[in-house]
Amino acid sequence: MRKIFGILSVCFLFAISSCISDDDFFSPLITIEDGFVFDNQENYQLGDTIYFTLEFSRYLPEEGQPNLLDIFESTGANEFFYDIEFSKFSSFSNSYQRVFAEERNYYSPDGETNSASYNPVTETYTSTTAIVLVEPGEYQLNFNFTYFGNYNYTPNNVYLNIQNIGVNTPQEYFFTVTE
Amino acid sequence: MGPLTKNIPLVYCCFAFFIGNLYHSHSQDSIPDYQHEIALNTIYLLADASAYLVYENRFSDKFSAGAGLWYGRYGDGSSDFTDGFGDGTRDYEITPFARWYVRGTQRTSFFIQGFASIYGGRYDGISRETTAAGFGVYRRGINNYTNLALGAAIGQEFLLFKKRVSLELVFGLGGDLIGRNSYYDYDWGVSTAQSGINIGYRF
Repeated sequence: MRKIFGILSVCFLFAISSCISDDDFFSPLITIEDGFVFDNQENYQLGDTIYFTLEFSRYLPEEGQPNLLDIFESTGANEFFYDIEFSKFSSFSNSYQRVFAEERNYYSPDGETNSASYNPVTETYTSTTAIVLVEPGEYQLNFNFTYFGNYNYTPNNVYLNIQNIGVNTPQEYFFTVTE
Repeated sequence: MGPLTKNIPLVYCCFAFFIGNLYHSHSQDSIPDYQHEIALNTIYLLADASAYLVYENRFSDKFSAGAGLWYGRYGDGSSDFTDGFGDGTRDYEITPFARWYVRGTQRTSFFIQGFASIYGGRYDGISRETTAAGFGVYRRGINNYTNLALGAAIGQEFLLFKKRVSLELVFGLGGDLIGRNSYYDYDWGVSTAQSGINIGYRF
């Protein structure tokens, strides 16, 4: 009987070992430093338009690697998508709450919003965003830890997730809009 | 492999063990020696339609050495990597081994086996390369790999038909020493299995 239990245990382990596997994960850490530029005047009038720009090279540093990574050749991506936080202070919650503006108040003069397009001349990805300030209040524009991804990747290309960090410039801006 | 296919080895293994235990009670006489044996792993044949052949040289009463050779295409996306998600295949495996038969040349004997496994295949992976301009670039492509693993196994052998035919139940696991991590690196560091029911011809 002990032998039977022994062999059954072996069979069980065999069955278990046939089912378990690990997946490979590919997640290099790539960063952009001070990718966003915003000239914050801190006080604006109702109806003013603010602009912020984004520019980053196709050659980016990668943690643990001796040379810069060519993200254009790696991904084949003509654009990287991102999302920034535009918030307004709310007395209801005593905190900044995210604002989702309609297209005429949140747009890009040179293309699609939340998308950095590749410029082969400068070998950079660029984007300009305009926000029309149509409500008075206290606002926050936060570029910290914004991620960029080539979401429309194909199986033959590589998907990269890139992080923006502020090193020499603040990435969190506050301003006031008055009537 | 589907769930049903995966269960075939388990059911077969238990059934063969049951038959083997019945047989065990009948005879334990000593045997003439056949030094050589060629065996076929039936579980690989049934589950994967692939051939796993084992040659064994029983050079003494209690010890033997041999090698297994398997060739097949085993793995998700093994026939087509274009989905971009198939991690790889295991295409071949060469397994030299040495055995100690606890009961020597009796008609049934428990054995302990140590083995090495040289196996390889292809994988759809991402590798970082350096361009002519000196920049890093990630490229996806199909690459070959070869791994070396060591392992241990236990088993039971039954000799049938005037000891011309052998029936073996064997179970063993091994872990990689050299090579790439792959889809088949099971948990607990186990990367290869030497298991199954072998039916052999002795001469």
